[in-house]
Amino acid sequence: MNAIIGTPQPRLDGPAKVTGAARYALDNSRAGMLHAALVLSPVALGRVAAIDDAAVSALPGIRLVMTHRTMPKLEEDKPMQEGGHAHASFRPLESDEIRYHGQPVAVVLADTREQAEYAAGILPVRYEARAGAVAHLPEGAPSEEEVGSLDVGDADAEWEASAVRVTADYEEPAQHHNPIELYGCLAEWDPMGGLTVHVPSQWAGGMRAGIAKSFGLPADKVRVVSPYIGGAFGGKATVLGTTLLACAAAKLAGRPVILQVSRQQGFPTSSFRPAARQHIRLGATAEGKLRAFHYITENQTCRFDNVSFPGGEILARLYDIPGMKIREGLVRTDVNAPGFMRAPAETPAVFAFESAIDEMAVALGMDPVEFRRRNEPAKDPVKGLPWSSRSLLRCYERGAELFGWSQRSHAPRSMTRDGDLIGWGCATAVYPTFISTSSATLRLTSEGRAEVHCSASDIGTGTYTILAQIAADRLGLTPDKVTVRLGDSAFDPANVAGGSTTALASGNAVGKVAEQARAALFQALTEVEEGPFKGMAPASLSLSEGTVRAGNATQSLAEAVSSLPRGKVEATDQWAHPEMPAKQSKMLWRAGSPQGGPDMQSFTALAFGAQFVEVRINPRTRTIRVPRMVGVYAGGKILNPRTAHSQLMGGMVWGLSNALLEASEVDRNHASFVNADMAEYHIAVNADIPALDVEMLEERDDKIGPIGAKGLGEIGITGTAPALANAIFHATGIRVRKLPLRIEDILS
Amino acid sequence: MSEAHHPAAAPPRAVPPAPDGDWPIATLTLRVNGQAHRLAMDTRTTLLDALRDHLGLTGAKPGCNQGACGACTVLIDGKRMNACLTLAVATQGQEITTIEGLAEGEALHPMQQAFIDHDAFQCGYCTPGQIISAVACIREGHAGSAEEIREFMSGNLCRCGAYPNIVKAVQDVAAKGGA
Repeated sequence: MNAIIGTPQPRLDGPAKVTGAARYALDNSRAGMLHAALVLSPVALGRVAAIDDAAVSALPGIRLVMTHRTMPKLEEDKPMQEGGHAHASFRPLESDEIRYHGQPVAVVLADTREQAEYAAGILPVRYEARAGAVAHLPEGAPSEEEVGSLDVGDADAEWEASAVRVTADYEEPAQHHNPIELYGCLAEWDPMGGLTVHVPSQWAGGMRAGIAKSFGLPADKVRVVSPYIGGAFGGKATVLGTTLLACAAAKLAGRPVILQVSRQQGFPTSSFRPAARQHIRLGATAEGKLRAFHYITENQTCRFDNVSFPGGEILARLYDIPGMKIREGLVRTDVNAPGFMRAPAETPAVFAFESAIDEMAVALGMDPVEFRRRNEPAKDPVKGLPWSSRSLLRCYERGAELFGWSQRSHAPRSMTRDGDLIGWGCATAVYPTFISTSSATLRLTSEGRAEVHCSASDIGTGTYTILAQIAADRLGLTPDKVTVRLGDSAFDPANVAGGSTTALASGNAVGKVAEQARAALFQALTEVEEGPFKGMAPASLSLSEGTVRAGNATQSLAEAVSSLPRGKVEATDQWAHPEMPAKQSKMLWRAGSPQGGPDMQSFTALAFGAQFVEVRINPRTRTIRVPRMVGVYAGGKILNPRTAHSQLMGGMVWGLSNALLEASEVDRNHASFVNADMAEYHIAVNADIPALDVEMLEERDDKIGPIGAKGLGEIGITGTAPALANAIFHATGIRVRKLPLRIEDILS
Repeated sequence: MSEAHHPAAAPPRAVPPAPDGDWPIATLTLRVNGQAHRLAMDTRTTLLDALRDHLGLTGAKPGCNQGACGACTVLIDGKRMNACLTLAVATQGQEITTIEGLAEGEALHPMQQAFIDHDAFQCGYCTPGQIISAVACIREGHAGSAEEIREFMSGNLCRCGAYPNIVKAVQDVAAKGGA
């Protein structure tokens, strides 16, 4: 072992990414490849009455116009939340039916992109539209289906007995991921009936299963390749309908097909964060001890699938509240299926809850940090289990110190600078530590190197680098002697790169196979005739700095591996947490996504952080500026402080963007997302981002697995929006309970 | 039937018909990274698609095809431009530099190295455009302070949120004497 884990190693994929050499899905091309362009429906409900494909078929370069009449019949696939791999169970071109605005109705294939896009633009399509489509979350719409329910104690009695009460409703808009990489793929059928799809994927193995199922193929006939992903954030976890269209068109045309889904077309054809509302009641004693928490939600979904993100069970882990009643529900609307978007359950839930906590602190006349300190739970309030580790209060202490919180004057509108209103706010960040499982293969080569294969994805999170660090640590190598290959369904199965699970699950798998390969190497070396270790006890051998040693005998790793009969050593295995039931863990090998947590059998695991922000508001124009943000997090073992810092920082940037800028605005006349491009759907730009401090506290967690690392991909976003809303209240005295937080909300 | 037009739906029907149903093919010479390439292509081809589809230079990325994200940024006669908004035929006689032409042989350009050193990216997709833009930002004299860099790098979106590290990378290179 050496001290590589925990050091700020530069990204191993860095040189490829800064030189343009990294090959993303749409950077691939094939001889004879056709370019696909989509035609989308301008009506949200109805049917395709007629498509005059003859009008464009004769244009130069046009090879195929695929419509519902010619689309190959697909097998059904379920959405991921119901155990399948599809984004949505309803897929375009399977019939003439139109169920949402922007649903694809035709695919045009041509020799060049210019020809395909031109023809798609003029293809005559006649629609029979039906009125009544609704794409927004209607005001006051009740839940149509309950998807989450939790009771702790007697919430109603605690509420009645509470001396201080807060009742508030919160609301968040639909949002789209908008990774900078466009959606799309290159689909290629081979003469043996196999299909290779280059598609940006958070889950190569899962997408393979979904595509194979849809086309009625055995899984080994399909390969999904995705070594680099240009941003994912949950949007590339499942098989999109557009991916299936490209595969189907390639099958019909008998040629490889590349589909680049335009930015505008990506809005209706991909997944999104659904609009949501929360109704909260909090009750407390006059001394600031929480007693009651009621949480009722409505979450937008589509007509055909129940896509739900109940966040209540996470909120129930934040504070010691004896009475909790949580009911979470869905409202059906005429949209494509919503889906996972960075901290899908937690982002809206934590905004609402941590805003309400601040409202209660104000009602009590108490410092919001002190209020949280008084409600710190000694154990999991839901299950009564011990925490695997919990450092929320340490995060608050350190964050307050970094931020200078002690200088805060708590009354609203009491702080000004250069004529501007200044507001300081804080909020808890939280993300459950979902404990998944993963397999991996590690091979020691005759060059003295280690090769790691795993189908897990590096979506920019640093997976390539941390897996190399873990293998290097176990094998006494430097990370540059380790080759990590990821993002290919041909490799050993891993969980979806979602739920902040990859570092722990695949990290433990790599650590395990590295130890097995080392043990196998030692055993084999003691059996090499005339080798330096012949006849020694395997346990007496060691491996460090690329050299095998035992007593006075030494041999370089390259020579040692070369001396073995097969010239290599290989280990493949799965890591699963001992508290994961075997029935669940074996689903990994059946393209499942098994994960436990936050509560396991003997402990409950979550990562916590504390976020502090300053807002500066012009008293006349009410322009909101954010001069600084501080986030302090405890995430178990930090495997690589450099890449971990970037994940947390990126999460906070997402949080600011979520809080102040992002909304997919709905045109209620056409039931469409109206600001569907990057000029009108605003994400944070460089100039929006202030001084941003991220600090990671030491936290030891021996329960979650040998690597001891809690996921960090999502926690960074969670506390930012409530911290900003709380700071805006502090600056202005106006409580904004609806995202994004805008000038017009604080005019009065 | 609804005739509603929307950016997410089909483009407008008012596209002029191509002459004789066909579109002119231009024969042109593109000078990219110091090399001249004689090419024939549809006159509608953007510089971005010409680089990617005709020359195999896939470092410049499509992100929006409307000049909003900056992932396709290249240098044209030393000025940073959105390759997606530039027609290839309009760049004849001009010198185009892409991310593939930035390094000197095996040695990384200082800005490429600075992006690695400061972890100024995560997924890496916007990175070629950011680096090209950052080089130009310094050459334009717009890297005098963090605030100025933030402003003049705001045409390049980074969805992973690496902005603070991008600013540090640009400051680092500027402090060491430029790009």
